[in-house]
Amino acid sequence: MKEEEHKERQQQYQKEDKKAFKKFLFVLLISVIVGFMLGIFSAFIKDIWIIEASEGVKRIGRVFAIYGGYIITIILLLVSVILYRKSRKEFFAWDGEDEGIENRIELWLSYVSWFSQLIMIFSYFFLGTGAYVQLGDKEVVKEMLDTNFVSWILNLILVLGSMLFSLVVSMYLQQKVVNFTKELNPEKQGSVYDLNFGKKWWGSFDEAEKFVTYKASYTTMKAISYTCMGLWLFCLIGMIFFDFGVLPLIMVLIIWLVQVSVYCLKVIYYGKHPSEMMK
Amino acid sequence: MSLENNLKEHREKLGVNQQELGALVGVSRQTISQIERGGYSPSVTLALKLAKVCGVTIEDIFWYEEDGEESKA
Repeated sequence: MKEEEHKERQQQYQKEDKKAFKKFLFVLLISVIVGFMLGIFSAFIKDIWIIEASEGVKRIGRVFAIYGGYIITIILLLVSVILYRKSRKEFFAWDGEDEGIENRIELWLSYVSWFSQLIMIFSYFFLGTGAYVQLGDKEVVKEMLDTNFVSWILNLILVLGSMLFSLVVSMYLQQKVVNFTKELNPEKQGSVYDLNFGKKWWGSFDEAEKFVTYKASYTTMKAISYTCMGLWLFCLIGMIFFDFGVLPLIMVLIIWLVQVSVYCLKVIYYGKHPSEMMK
Repeated sequence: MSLENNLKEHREKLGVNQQELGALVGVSRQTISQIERGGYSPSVTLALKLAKVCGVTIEDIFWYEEDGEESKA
């Protein structure tokens, strides 16, 4: 009887696979055609003058690489300050009963937290682009050092200053959000300046807060998978038609490998140690 | 099928706000709010703690409703 049941189930799975496979094959075919056409198009437009950026565009790009960090940080800081002040105003006017007010405050603080992390990520980006502009092109650097040394040094200071400014703003906003959250939820623990902050903060999460984190993490994992796939295609086209080497492709695949491997190994681990899941 | 509850009524009988009830059972105000709004189904442990604090059984607070069934009073 057991063997018959097994055979029935196998047949059912095969039917499901067959049904889904046709759609899968169709999507795969479309992806191959789109990828092929993108590749051909890229090779085609490479030869068009639009791709060769004019000197003016390059100059704008260099200026943005140096000042862009300041601009983005200031914009996000202003929006964050507005949301934070609104939250404080509502908090002081709160009678301790209206749930709507608390939910609103927590929503605004979530946005401020998000912006503070965006500032940090952008700071890394602009440090990279600024450093590239200042130090990457050896011929440009040599020319600058020979003709306009003071300007070159000032720009380098601005690039480093941009990162420092962004990091300080990011930490300041995170500190404000964390401390305000602790006022709303006294059971929360941890200081943003504590090296073990992440562990303490996570430790003070209750089951619902952890559940939200798990769900958000799963969505993040899927988003990263799609992003890596898109980036892989971009790097492949770039590698073949724009000669920017195999390193970008390797970087993308490292991220993808780490993500998939950590996820799968953790699933295996929790399968073997179910009691660890509740920690 | 959905998990329903009347936790808010029991909390009001107890005379505490969400923050205070959360402190009694070891969760945040947000979690109590999400449970009351039906946005979160508590673990068995938390459900037991809530029932104990409210002085009732779990079934007095939480129940499953089939689609189309009348809700509990």
